[in-house]
Amino acid sequence: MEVRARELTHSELRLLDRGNWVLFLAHQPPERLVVFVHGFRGGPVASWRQFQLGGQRSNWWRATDLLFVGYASERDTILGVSNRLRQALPDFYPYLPDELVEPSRGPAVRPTHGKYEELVLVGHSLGGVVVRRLLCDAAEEWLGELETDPSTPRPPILDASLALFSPASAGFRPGGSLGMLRALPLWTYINVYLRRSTAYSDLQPSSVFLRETRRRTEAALAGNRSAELKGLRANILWANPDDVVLTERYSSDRPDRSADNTTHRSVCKPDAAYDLPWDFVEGA
Amino acid sequence: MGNGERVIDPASFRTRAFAMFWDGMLRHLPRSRGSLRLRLRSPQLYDLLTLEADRWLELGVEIGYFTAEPSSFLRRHGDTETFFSMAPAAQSPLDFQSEVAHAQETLSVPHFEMLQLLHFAGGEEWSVRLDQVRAFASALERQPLWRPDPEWLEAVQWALGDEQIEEHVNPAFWRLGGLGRYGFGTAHEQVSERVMALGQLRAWIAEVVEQAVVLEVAAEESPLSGGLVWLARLFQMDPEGGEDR
Repeated sequence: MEVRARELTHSELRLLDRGNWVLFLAHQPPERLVVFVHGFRGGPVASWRQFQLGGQRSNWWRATDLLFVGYASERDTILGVSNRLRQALPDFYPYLPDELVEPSRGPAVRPTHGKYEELVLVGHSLGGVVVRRLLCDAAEEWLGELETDPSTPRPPILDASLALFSPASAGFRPGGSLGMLRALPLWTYINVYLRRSTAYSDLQPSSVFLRETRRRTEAALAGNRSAELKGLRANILWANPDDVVLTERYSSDRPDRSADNTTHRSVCKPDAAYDLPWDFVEGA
Repeated sequence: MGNGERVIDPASFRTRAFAMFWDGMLRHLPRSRGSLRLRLRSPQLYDLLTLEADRWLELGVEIGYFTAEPSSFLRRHGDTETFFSMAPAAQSPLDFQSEVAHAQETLSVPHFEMLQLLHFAGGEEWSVRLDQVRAFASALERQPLWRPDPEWLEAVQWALGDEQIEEHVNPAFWRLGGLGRYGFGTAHEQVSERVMALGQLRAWIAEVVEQAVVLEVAAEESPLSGGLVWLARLFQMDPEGGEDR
């Protein structure tokens, strides 16, 4: 185990013009960007508890910028969030704009910033479906462009590795409402329930949206460019027990794992006593 | 990509980023009034949120998270300890980082509206808004499968928040702690009464929703219970049930 840093390794920048996205910028030149997408009514940072403290644990995290994406899960559709994120990510990856490291020409958070070498997309629950759809659509778009121009470069977003915590990609369990009621903070659940958002409907096990996302992902990976689409093969860490979602992966996913004694809500929240989430994302 | 004149100073960066965010939130809110029917008439709320930000800055400087510099473009109010005297839980910059991130994350339009109502609304306005929430709870109870329309949900959203700032003893603590003792806004006892009244309505809504969920799940699993749901749907069409909407 590496020696703990015991000092701040990242600084926070909230991006009001993006809605409610939050960047934790590494103080040392970063090698990668990790993007976090929360589940139902999650807070961009609060949903992930202490992920931003990963720099206390390893050099990998100290050389990582963290982007926490916020969205209104009670209003937005899954496709809407996925499309918005797909359009916005090129503003952050592979090059982060200078003004984010040095806002308003004020003091900078670190000396220089070049090109990221790596992108990791992380999703929890509903957020897992969002990032799956994002990569699936990006892959299909690229494969379509290749048919007319075989020299079309692969878009940077498909560099991504995919790490999912209890993704809802197979939908809620039958009777999952009760599980959600137990698993989510009470008032988070009440808001989800009262609003009955489109995203909520899209996560029923019979959902066309879920079925199509899976079919298209597996079809893309069955083609002859699958080696260049490895980001679509998700790494999954399930909560055990998980009362909320069906714990089924795609046939194209990597072998999955479970975190004992965690819940649907806690599986993605690392702290001093539960450091598996940091290792899981680092190993994705 | 860098240049020779760049000053590297993460603490100063954080100070500037914090002030930009807080100032941006306060500037953004008035533009939301029309669509969200906010009634943020009192400038006191803005003043208090600015005081809270200043207190965060002071504590952050003490703990080494922020820098003491004139770059902050928040207004300076001086004696913030008068209003935010409780000792912060954070003992290190790392703890402080988590707390200040949480305090910023809980800032939202419905949260601002709740603060305005709890601390500064007159008695009549408070009663009207609380009655809206009571009518909402009552409609939910009568019609377990009711899907409130977005307009009504928006009107009562201030009472349905899921922020948990009460767990944190820090400059954000005032938001549910009452300010009457300092001569701000509504008298302290009255704020306490409002918090209690709101809490009772929230408990009622929570109970009704829990019952509705149990009913729905039972309907998925058993035809007999499904019949109950069908009956409940009939009640939804009851014209009397629509008046509260």
